[in-house]
Amino acid sequence: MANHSIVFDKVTKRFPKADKPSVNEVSLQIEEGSFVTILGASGCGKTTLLKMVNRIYEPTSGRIFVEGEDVATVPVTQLRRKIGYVIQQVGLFPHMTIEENIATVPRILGWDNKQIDERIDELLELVHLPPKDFRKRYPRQLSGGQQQRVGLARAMAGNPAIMLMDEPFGAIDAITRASLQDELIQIQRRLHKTILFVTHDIEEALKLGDKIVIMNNGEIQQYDTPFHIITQPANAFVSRLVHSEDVLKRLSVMKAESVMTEIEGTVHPNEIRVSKEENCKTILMHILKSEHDSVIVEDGNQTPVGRVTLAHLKIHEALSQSLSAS
Amino acid sequence: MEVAAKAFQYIWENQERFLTAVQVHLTISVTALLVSLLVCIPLGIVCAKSQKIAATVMNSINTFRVIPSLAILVIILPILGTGFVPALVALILLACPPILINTYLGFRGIDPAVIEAASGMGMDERQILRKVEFPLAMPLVIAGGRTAAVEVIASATLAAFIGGGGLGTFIVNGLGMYNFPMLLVGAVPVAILAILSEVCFAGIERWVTRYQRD
Repeated sequence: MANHSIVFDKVTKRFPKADKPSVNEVSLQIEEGSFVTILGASGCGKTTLLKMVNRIYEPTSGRIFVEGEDVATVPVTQLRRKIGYVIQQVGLFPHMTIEENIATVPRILGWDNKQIDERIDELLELVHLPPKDFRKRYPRQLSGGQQQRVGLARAMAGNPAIMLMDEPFGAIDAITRASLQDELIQIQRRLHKTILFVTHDIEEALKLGDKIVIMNNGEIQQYDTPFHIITQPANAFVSRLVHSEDVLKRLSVMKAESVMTEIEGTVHPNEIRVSKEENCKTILMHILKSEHDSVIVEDGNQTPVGRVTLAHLKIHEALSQSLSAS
Repeated sequence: MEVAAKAFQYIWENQERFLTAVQVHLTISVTALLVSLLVCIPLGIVCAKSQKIAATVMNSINTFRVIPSLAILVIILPILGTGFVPALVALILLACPPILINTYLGFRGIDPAVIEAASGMGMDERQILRKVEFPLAMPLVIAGGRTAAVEVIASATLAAFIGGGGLGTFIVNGLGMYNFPMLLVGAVPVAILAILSEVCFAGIERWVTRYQRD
């Protein structure tokens, strides 16, 4: 249990007057430092599951452990102060400036002013809002995307190890949403939080999650990596939901580093270069547009580490298709 | 002009009487307003948090509001007699509805997402009330106080009818004796006090809503 940050043990939530439980006997273990997306249609219980972690809702039965402690035994305010919480409506305090908003949890925790001050700058930098322009502004002076950046900064202010995010980008336009997703991935690579992220957007779930929980009717249908969800859907529901028969979808969950081979022969100067993390759908696009049938894969220091060719993509695609068929 | 001059002359010759009347008027108005604020703000908050209590309280308040100020004074008369206290009670009853209703609306109108975010960050109920709900409801609460204050200052004039004293005394006497200058001695200062209270409350309102402007 040591490296499991959040553990659900046969958790059931039945709301009064509802004829069936919203969450039904769910057991789930979330590894420390992993980014887990919870995917499902509205009413499938995904938000209920999330909100039981910080006790916005109390489970009807079953237990939830956060960092080894049964949440029911921890005073609720104390529990919530060490869990970052981001909601779709953001919920910034309209009467407080951005800096006051971000300082909320550190003030409750009794940090000294200098420490809080530094923390505000650090967080605003992290979410790409220049502190000198934004600290003194009020929430209504910010765009929706900027407000959610502040929401994210505010949730991380007390340096929680766990973040709960309830469709945080659901109300944001597609272009801003994509850049917020990219930034969240960057932030996660640096900070290694344990993130539970609820979404109804399949692309978002696949893009962000190290692992995905797929829910339907209050039960977990599959809990696995994006690659396995696409290539080996556990049942017809998952298969239908993620369109696992879609070739491009399958390519989009394969990373360059899992497909690449060693570089043989010379690296051509105008061969396109991609990062290790790049997905194979994008690589295919590159190859289609390029004069070569291959791309060079680089690590973080822009050193070439491998090559992906059209032939590789074909082999891996065929492989994953046979996996999903079996 | 002649009337105004006569009114000034009256004040000049009866300075002490005039100042006492102003003082009584202010005392009775401010006391009525303070008591109403102390009672109705907490009551309004309780109503905002409990639909059951809200339904009862709001319905009775709305029924009560249709009774005109003078009628309240007259109803109070047989119960509490004449003098300062019954006048004060009548004014408190007048000041309560706007404060209560506005407090209720102010607290009810807060975006639930803001409260969810606050409690999700681990603020306890007292912290949420003090740091989030109060400041956000304040503009409406103040607006309620503003309405109540003007109503109380104007209605305190009627207190003279049941022996409560204040500037209304001049108006009642002026009317009774067909003495127009004396009527002005009561009416003009009441109007000035009402305007002053408007200006004061407008200032406070501006201050508590400063975050809504650039």
